Amino acid sequence: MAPEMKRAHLAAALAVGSLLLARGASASTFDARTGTVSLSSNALRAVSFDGPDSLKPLGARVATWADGGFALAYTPATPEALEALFVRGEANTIQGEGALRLGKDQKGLVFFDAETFEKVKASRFEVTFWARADGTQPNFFVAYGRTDDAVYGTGIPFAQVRALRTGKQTSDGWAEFSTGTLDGAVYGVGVRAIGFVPRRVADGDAFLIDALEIRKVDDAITKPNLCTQDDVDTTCGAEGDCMYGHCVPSTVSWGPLPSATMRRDLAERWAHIATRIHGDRNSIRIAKERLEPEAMRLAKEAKSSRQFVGGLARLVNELRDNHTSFGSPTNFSYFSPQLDGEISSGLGCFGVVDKDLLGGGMGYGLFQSTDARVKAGDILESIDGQDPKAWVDKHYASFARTLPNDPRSDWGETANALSSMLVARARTFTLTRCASATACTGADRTQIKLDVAELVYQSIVEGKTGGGSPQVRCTARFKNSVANPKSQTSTGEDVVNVEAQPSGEISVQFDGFVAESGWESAMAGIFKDAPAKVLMDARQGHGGYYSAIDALFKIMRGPSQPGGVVSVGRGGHDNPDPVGLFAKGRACAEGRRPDDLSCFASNINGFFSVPGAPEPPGMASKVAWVNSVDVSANDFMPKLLQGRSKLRVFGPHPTSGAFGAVISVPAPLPGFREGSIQIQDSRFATDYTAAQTARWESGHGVEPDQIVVQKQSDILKGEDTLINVARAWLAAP
Amino acid sequence: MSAKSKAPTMTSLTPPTHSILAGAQPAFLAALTALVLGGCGGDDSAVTLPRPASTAVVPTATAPAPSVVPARRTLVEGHLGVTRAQNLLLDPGFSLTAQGETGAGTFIAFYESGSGEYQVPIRVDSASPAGFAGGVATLKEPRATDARSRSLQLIASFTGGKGPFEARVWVSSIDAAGAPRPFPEDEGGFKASLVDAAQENAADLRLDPEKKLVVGNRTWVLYTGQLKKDLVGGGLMAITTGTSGGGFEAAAPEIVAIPTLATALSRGRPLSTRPLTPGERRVIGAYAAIPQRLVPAAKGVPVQRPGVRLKAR
Repeated sequence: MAPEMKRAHLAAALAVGSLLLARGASASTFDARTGTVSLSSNALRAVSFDGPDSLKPLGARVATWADGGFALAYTPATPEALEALFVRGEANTIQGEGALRLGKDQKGLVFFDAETFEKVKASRFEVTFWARADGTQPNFFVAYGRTDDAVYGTGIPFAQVRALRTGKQTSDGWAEFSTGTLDGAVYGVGVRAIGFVPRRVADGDAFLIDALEIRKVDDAITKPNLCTQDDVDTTCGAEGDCMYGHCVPSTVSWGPLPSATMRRDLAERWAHIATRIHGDRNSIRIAKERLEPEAMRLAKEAKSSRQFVGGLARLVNELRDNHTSFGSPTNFSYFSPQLDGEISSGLGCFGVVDKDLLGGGMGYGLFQSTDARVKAGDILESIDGQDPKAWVDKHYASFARTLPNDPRSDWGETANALSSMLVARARTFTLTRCASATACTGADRTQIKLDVAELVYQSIVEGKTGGGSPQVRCTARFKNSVANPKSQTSTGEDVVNVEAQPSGEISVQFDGFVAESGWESAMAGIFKDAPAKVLMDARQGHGGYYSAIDALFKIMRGPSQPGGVVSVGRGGHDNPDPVGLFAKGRACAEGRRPDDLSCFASNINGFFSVPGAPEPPGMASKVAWVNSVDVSANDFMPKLLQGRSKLRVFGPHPTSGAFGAVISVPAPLPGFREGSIQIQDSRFATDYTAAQTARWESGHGVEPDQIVVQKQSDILKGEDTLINVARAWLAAP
Repeated sequence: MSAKSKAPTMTSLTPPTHSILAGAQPAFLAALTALVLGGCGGDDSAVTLPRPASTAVVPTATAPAPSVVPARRTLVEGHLGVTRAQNLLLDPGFSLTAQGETGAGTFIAFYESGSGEYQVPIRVDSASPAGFAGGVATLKEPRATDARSRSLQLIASFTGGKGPFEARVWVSSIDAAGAPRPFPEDEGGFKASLVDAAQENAADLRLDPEKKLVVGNRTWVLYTGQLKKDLVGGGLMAITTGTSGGGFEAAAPEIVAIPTLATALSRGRPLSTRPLTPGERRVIGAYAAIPQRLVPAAKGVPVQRPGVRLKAR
């Protein structure tokens, strides 16, 4: 053996030794002499998986996932059905005589081990097992629930936890998995089952399971004490999280805490991606200054998944790039730690408002109510005793899946997410209500305090959630600008809703630039006859395709008032902008040959007005462009049009400011969806030469030409302030 | 210009099939390499050679035989990622490939002759060099025989910059039926290359005769090399199967810029460059034509939490 290999092997052995010490003495142990694992003597349940008899105490049921859904179909666990799941022989086991081999016919096992789970209901416990992937990763869950049906029968688990590799692995592909220390009950609801059920496994692929243990750890179960996001560390402890105003173990919100080695691996990887692969020049700076050192500190010091996984997700959000996300846990339970986004959550929908009846200033107001206790026009006065925006600024980054690039754009996005955030993460909030649009003093001004956490918590612990008014998807529009608009087609294309008004105005409402088949022709049709006045209502703009912004630019802006954009990838891991990179891109933005690999190598693309080209008919139209919650392609388009004659951008604040292509990055941990990053940044100018001295635009949202905020008084009158102001401008000579 | 790529797949209740994020895996790989196992089933057979596994270093045709090291199943340190954290390849565990992602940086395979896309099957074999942290890409076209096959090329782009760059990928050979077979002495037409797209040239990695991993009847060999130059903009890794029949499996690809390593070990063998082949140009052109997305992160994720409603008064 080469000397360096000996050193590597020794280092690996030492590292494994330190892991063993860190995990305590009660777990199953690996015997280096025999190459096998021994079950611990103090486990509440230790299963050798030697044959069907070994499953008898476990309440085993055979299960398969329903196609495309999240329900399990259970079939009788006959001795024959169970026997078919076992393999034997030393090569297929790591402990005892046999092991489970799951994958064939997608069949798995769920253990409704009531006896063991009852023993740990008031304490903490850990589940460990060994697995080997023979084609697919092991799929495992611990499911909490009041009834067996909650284990993906007709219901879904009250809470659930997956297992992570501990770092103990063997040279032939076995690895130990652990849930870490789990509470035996969450909000009084105990563990109902643990399951190993393969999902979407190809023929012949499988995973092996052996040496399952369930061990009691201690009695330090998390008490559901009252908490707020500000006191979670002291009230719930390092291992707790605060949801619905009460402490929960963060294992059910953020999952198990990865081992120290894996924490370091994940922190190093995100630091590498954010500082050496990311394309948003502003985010790269933030990554170097903050994410890199803080992620490594978290990896060393974090005591729980809330602190580490949640903390790392927050650091990624704080890169301030709306194309960048850490990845979201797929937690089908009450304890999804990240916000659902634009959902009424049983409360209603908030928007950004001008508190004109309360002395003015920007705030959050209800656009729509789905609960009788709150009303449209109510203004959010405080959250947990604090100014609402101050509370949101402190906590939103911890629970968001991504943040706008330009912090001034936070208002709109957080307003959309506010109902979810209040319901899941606030304890109390206060609203101020005006009797009418003209009466809001003395007795006409009232305050409503809602102990939202207690209401939701009681519903959850009593099992009385659901029912009531339906969930509503929240938008930044107080009113639509056309009748009965549609958002997207079944293929995901953004619908271009068009309506001719009696005033002669053409009203267009659309949410983005996802143009599959009819989008571009619809836009071309709107402008082909050069309508005098066009209202473009893009207030819930979620982006789309580069080709669509190119197409609309060519429809709406001609060479007499030139403009354009160039988007540039990262020049190198060491330096995003090496000398000469930008200069090389001219051909890429001014007509690129399909076989030109140099533009691909530099990841440069874009378009500019073509001198001498005919003016498009859309240039003759007077256009009011209305923004609110807008990102990506919905950043690009107003930026490309702004400055053109007879066009004005209206909105309450700047757009997000995300100017570049987005790509996915692999999921950070098992049980998470993949994340994403932006790989370019962009410059806007009249031509490519001017673009060479323009600034990188990411981080700078598109400023409205005219700031307009929905007035509280208009809500009470049923009037949409932004549309009214935009239409008044269009109607003016 | 562009159109949006395929959307991410629907949220899965299960851990992503190949959920990885790169981190460091050097100790694990070093231990695996050093052990060179024999007889531990990485295939689907219920009965394989008895454990503890016999261990033998298998000499290649071009290398002097190292000494035989007896070993049993041993404990090694597992890492989160399939390669070092400094890997410039975004998806060395092929998890995005498995989900059908087509964005830049994702490994995508094409037929070299016509640049049509080939859907790469990805499986997790924890006894492979990728361990539990990543998947293994199967590169075998459906009509391949043991003697002939259409050449596939699996490529992914990466961020360039200051060199030198050290590249590696583990490879095993399979027959037309997908069963493991000894790695061909003539390398069977297999090629792993680093492509400088701006300069339109490539450098072929070389088989390292000292690094070989035998798991059951599957032999993994390591292709490696060092590109001693800077790459302005980006480059690509290209893995080409050739036309000699059967197919190959690839695991744990890695490209590391030596300057990004805290302890720069510059021991890799320098690679020389050659012009791109027409097939490579076609495939890279197809990869380059992938539309770019301008959509925000993490939007449109379905609600995971059951409908929480305020309790009725």
